[in-house]
Amino acid sequence: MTPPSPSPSPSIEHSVARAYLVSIVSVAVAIVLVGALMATVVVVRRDDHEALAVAQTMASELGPHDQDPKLDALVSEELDEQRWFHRQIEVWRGATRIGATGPGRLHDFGTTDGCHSGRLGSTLTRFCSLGANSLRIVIASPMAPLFVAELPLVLAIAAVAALAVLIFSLLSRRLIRRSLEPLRRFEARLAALAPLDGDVQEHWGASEIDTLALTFRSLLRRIADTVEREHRFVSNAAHELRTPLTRLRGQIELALAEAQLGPEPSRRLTLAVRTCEELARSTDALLALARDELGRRETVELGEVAAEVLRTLTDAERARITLTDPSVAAVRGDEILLTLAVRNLVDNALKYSDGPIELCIAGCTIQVIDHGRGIPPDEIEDVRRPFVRGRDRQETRGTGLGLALADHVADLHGGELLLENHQGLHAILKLPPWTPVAVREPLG
Amino acid sequence: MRILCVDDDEETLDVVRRALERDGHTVLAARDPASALTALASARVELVVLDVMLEHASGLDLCAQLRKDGLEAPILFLSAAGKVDARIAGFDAGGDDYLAKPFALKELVARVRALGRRGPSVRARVVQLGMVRLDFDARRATAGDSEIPITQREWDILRALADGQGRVVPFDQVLETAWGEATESGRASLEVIVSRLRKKLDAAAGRPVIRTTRGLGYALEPA
Repeated sequence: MTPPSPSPSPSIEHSVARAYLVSIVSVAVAIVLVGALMATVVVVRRDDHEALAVAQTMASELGPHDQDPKLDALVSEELDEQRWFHRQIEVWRGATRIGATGPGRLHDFGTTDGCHSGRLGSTLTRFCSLGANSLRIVIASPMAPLFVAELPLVLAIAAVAALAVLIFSLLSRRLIRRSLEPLRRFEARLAALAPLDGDVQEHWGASEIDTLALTFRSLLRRIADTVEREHRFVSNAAHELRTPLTRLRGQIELALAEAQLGPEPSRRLTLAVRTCEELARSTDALLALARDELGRRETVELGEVAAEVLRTLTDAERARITLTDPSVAAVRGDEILLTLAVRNLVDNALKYSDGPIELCIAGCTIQVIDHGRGIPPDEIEDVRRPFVRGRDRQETRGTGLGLALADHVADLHGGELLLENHQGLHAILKLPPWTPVAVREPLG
Repeated sequence: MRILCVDDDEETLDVVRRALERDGHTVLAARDPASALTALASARVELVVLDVMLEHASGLDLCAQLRKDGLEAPILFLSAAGKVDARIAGFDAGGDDYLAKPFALKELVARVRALGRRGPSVRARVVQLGMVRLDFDARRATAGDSEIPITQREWDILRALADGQGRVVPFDQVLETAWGEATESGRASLEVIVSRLRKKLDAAAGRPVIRTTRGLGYALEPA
């Protein structure tokens, strides 16, 4: 039985196409509005010409001798209808103004006959005269572009165009946002994802992201499988190594206890036991390096860590170490890992220096200070990597795991390992201070 | 003591058996849960040494089953899974102590001795010391709402003292419970840790909680 599959999510591609369409519409609306404005200008200008033509026709029809006041009134009325916006029209017969909407500009043209046009001040003026006593007509339109002359109208049209563009772009932005919202949620989910046991749901409301989520799921599963396999491998390897080591060590110890051996064979067998211990420690270090999270967060006193490290050293090694230990320096973490880390730092100091070594605990910091050659500055970062050893240290015994392990353990605890050269190496393991965890079980 | 040892590795079993026999114990050996159960049915054992990872079974499961069947003898786990993981599961399953492989035979013998002295596993899980509450299962010490930082070693010492139920527990017995051996340097560390424990607990409890009997040992002062 397959579960009923929800309707397929819309694709982002479609949503974006829709938003694109909305933008095109908005631009088109703006173009239409601006076009209308331009058209108005053209119409007004053409109308000027028409008005003049009408006036001209009338003037020529009426002639110089038809001095009928009634006709004059008709002419004046006729021309009055041609008034438009800020256009001014004057009609004169001889020196008498028989109709006018403007301040009177005829005198500017004197007694010239015929028709001509020209600029006069801030107006574009057309003048037509058919003789001294005939009609004279002046049409003056404002020279300023129409949008200045008709500012409120122009502003209104522009505002409508701008508003249209604004509304449409807001709309398309919302559309795009809404179509990208699943992507944002998907990103937030990935950011909050637990590295190994997290999962991603299948339906996000966008088909592209649904596909991405499926790919991610299978990727996460593959990673989890790989890590799981690796953990199993390390754990099996550790088991496989420790079992024969237990036999080996047990047999040697029994031989030491039961056989009547001379001092030289005894010494050799004791050394063999120490090698077993070393091997076991390397196994622990490898296992610790393979861990990527802290299993336990128990209370650990750094003084106990130092004491445990000292306990596992030989008397000769212990004699080189001075311990400074305040009575209380608690941190939260894994005591065994911390002991392993400090043991490795101390081993390092023992191997790569000759003089005394100080083991200092101050606050939540544990320092191992030797008086050897230190680490060359250009190698100080490299030596934190597993199996990397300093150039001048190749002849000394060691695996190159020590500093890598200490660094990793510091990391696991949310602390850090500082390596500083001051007439010897100062290896400083800094850990966050102990904090109580919330009480979960009921009191009483 | 009669001790049952369970380990699937024959050679390890042989070494452990030999080491314990040398210390004067009688050892029954078993390589799987079935023969372990048979051995338990045939004789009374006072202690079990149990490998965590048996070939086709889990030592932890066997331990849980033995506890369910009413076995009170202390159980010492041996683990090749690495120190860190071994301790996590061992106590939960009802074990009393654990030892990571590879171990020193001396330490095995000392821990067996310490567990044997402790006797059957009837143990207080919670101990109240004035205001301080010690929860041994959760390994958590609280005074009212606030937690007191107690390390694993400090818990081991408190465990040894709590098992004494108010009686004086000898220094060496505390050392063997906490470190698996009683050495001179261990004795010095024990003194340091007990003084630190007093610092942590006395103020919270409102009175001294650990009594020292000079030259003998320590005792808890229960409410």
